[in-house]
Amino acid sequence: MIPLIPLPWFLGLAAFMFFCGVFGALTRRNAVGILVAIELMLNGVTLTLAAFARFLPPGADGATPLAGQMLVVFIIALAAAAAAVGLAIVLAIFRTFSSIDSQQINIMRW
Amino acid sequence: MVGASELWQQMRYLMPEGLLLCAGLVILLFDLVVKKGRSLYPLAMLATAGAAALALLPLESSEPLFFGMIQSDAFARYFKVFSALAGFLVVLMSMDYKPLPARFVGEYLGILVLALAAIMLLAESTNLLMIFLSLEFLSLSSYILVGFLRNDKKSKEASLKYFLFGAMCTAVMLYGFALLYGASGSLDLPAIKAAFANRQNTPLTCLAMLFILAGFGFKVAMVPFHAWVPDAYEGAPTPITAFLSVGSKAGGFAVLLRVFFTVFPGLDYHPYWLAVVGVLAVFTMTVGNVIACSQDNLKRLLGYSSIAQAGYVLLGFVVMDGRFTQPAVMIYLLAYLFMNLGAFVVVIVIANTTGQEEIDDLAGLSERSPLLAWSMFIFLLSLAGVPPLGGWIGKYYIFATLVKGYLEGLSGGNLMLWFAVALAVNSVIAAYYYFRIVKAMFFEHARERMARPVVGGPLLTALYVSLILTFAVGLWPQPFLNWVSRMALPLL
Repeated sequence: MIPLIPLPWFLGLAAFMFFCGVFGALTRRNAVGILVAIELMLNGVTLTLAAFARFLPPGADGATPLAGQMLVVFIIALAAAAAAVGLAIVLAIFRTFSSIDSQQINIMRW
Repeated sequence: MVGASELWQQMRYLMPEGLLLCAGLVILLFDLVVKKGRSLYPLAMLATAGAAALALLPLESSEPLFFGMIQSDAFARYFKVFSALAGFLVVLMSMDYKPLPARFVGEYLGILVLALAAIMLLAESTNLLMIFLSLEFLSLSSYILVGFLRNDKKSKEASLKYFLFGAMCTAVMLYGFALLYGASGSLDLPAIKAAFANRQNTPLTCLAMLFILAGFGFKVAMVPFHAWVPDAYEGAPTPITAFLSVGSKAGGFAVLLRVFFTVFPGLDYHPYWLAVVGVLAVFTMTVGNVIACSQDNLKRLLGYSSIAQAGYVLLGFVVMDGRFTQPAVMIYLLAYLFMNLGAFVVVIVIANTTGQEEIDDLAGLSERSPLLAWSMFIFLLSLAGVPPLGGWIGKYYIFATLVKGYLEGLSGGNLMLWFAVALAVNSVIAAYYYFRIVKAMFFEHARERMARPVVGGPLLTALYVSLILTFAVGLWPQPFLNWVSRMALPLL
């Protein structure tokens, strides 16, 4: 079966998502906003991996390369774990600083 | 297909990690029933010492284990011993660290022991999936440990900065993994190398490698991924700062060495890569050293100093010749383990006495506690690379590696000479700020109400162990060098 959408489209969309995430992570001031941007970066990564896993030539035994899809599942699971730790840290920050603005959380400098 | 009994057979190569994982979980469980968290320290010490002993057993396999996820070779075994040893000293240091809330000692020790297992797994991963999992395992535990002082604003801020920076670097690294997977069709390091052996590299591969360098560079504190280091080091509980500066950094270097030696030789742009890494290394040590000169907080100063030390070690990578590179890097890390942990022991004693960690708090230490002052002096000399101490042997080997690479006319030889010069110049800059501390200890007088520092048993043990081994690596380097050379990755 010939796939309708060629690989570069997937990669392009994934790269766009990834760099939107990078832009967001660098410009956002709200800590939760940065977390969301990082999730966007990770989604760009998973889309790239899934697309490659679909389009790469099958291995010697004729099976499609599953490693990429496996990595996708692990990234999603670990992203959830990282978000749990991250949100816990943000909560702790909010309790002491009464703010999650990353510019205001700056008692240590140089 | 590998059968269940065969997998069970392979488990014996994972005994040190297994012991640490079980111990970590047992400590977390005991924490629920035991009233006094302090009674868990012996358990953590036993676990780390046991893991070190198990890692010393000559159980190696040159075959890939667990479907090619893990390779438990001599190289991995070296880092297992290293991480267990570092863990043992860090547990000793934590015992008398006052700001640690007594109620949460169990959680603290449990997560610390698990993080040590993560370093071991990182050193033996040969698959991008496994590298990602163990790196993330190590990172997540480190984020929690850095923010462990619940009532300390600095600790929380450090944790947030470390987390945001780390999560972003991990995402960039994963994008690199995805691109590398697309370019090579596999996540397995040997398979990736084979895929590159018989075809030209594309710009995609280069991009992938750059992105991957971000993730590993974050762990070893390489410029420009070093921004988290000063803040995380200053805010974290001091034993954890010590852990980050040796344990987590060694894990980063282990995976960097493995990826360098398995994937890079297949790349077309090999010499250019070495130049890129060399220039980054020079930037790393220069930035670390120059900024360290203006620091007043001891932990922050040691943080910048650890950035600079990472730069020295990275220079060892530039000569991609297995005979020199690996022993040089590994002996440097070994010396660095003892001298840096030793310096942090002194910082802990000072913080316990005065409640803060400024250079001024060291004023007149030679009158108040000659033992502490002289051992700090030794550790700083070693960090500065003065003979005949451990740090000198490490630096000597890195330097010799570069000069040998130049003399033997390896590709990019002239560049190596310049890198060697940069290393020498940086050592001089580093001496300036190390001697600022020495000046405070020996030539300034104590403020009036400064108490005499009291060193308890565990801290004293950690101090003596670090001191003896700093001397040992410097004065009798041959046994250590022989050992390290035996543990190097097989040449390809």
